[in-house]
Amino acid sequence: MNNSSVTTKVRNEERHKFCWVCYGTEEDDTKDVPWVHPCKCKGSSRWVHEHCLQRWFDEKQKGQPSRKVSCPQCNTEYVVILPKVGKFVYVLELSDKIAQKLSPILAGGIFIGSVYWTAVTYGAVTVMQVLGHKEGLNVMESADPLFLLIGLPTIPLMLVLNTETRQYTEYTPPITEYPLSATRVLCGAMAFPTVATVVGKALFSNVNSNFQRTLLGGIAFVAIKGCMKIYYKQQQYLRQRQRKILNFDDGDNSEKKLENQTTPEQESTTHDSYG
Amino acid sequence: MSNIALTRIQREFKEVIKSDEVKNCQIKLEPFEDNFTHLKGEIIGPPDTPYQGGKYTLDIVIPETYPFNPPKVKFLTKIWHPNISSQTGAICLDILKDQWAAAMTLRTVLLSLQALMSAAEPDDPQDAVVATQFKQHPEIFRSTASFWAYVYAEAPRNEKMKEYEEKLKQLQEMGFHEKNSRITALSSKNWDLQAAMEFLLP
Repeated sequence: MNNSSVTTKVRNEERHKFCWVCYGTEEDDTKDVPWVHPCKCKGSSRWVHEHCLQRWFDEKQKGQPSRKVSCPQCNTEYVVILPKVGKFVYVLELSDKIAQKLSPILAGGIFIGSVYWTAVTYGAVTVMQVLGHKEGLNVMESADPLFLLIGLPTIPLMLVLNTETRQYTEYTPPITEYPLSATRVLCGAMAFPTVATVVGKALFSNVNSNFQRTLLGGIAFVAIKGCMKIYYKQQQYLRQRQRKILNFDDGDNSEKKLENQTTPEQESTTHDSYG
Repeated sequence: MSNIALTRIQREFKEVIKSDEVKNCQIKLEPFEDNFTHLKGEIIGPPDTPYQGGKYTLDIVIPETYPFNPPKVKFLTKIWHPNISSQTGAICLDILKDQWAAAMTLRTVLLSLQALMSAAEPDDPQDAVVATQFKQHPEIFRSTASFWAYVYAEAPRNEKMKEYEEKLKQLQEMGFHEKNSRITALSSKNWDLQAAMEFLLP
């Protein structure tokens, strides 16, 4: 095909509109339908039925009306004008958009807020537990409210951080050691003041000050728990050292195997008390 | 099939039949059934490629939403090519996926597939084994692809094929009777008889 015949063909196609979506021509139209030439394309890709292009838009936007669509050939971005809407619809659209954007922020805020208030409540309960009900209330009532709002939630935070650092600096022998579990750290830290109060009441009932009694209880608890833990680890270590690996059982010495298996099991079951 | 899809396919058919490529026997298109939803295409392996002279049959399924979504095309003739699965014939080509445009036609799809046969994209492979061979042993890739063209696509013979047929025969004598799996094993293992045998053993 030479150059001039190409030009005539292009001219021909521009005069006889030809839709690049449905491949119909203007002559094929059964009724008067609008045609558009929405991009830089010439020749057979110049014209398209408006309703065919609308359908192509729907396919490309996939339910997101704000997404831009370009011509797949020449990359021209199609210019779209949406009809003007009334004030009421405009307000509806605006509030829809705002709600869509605001929801995640709001949900995050609610979450952080509830965590914060839980921490404040926990802090207040702990103060009353440690100082005694009346004295604790007195201290909190006399304190600056701003100080309370910051100070109370830091109580659980400090407890958790304290447990965590203690766990990290501890020597871990090469025997069964559970990986540091977040839930365990949290539960341990949160339960600590209660445990300290209980231990204080049990061991130091002759001390009059609530605060001192709880403090002593806490120290005693940590000391007892430490001793028990060391003992437990030591036993674990010894048990590990004494383990035996059996010969493969090919049928004739099954009695011996049974005997060897029971001995270390019996030792261990008694040491399961853990602080 | 929706009205727009059917009328468009019928119009495309007229265009394809009048096209120069059909006149030169480069491409062919015919319906599998009367309703135009399932078509059979054929392309000739382009010159100066290992596929030269081969006839490749394609399975074309027109979706309900054509031309807004691309036709589903795969090779029915087995082919050794980085962007076409040697097992299933599935094709990795952008215009058959997200780069489809409604202005494309079955004719342009067939011509694009011919272009893909002469210019493979090993960095976006459909068949990883073929793509690796294409990159690491281009010489073996070319002779393997032309051997597959000879065996499956009626392409002409060449010198190298005697050696390959010899190896296939040796594998057959060892008790591997399925011809296609023998060819796949040897092709995947760069025609190393020992490795192909291990590949075939369960």
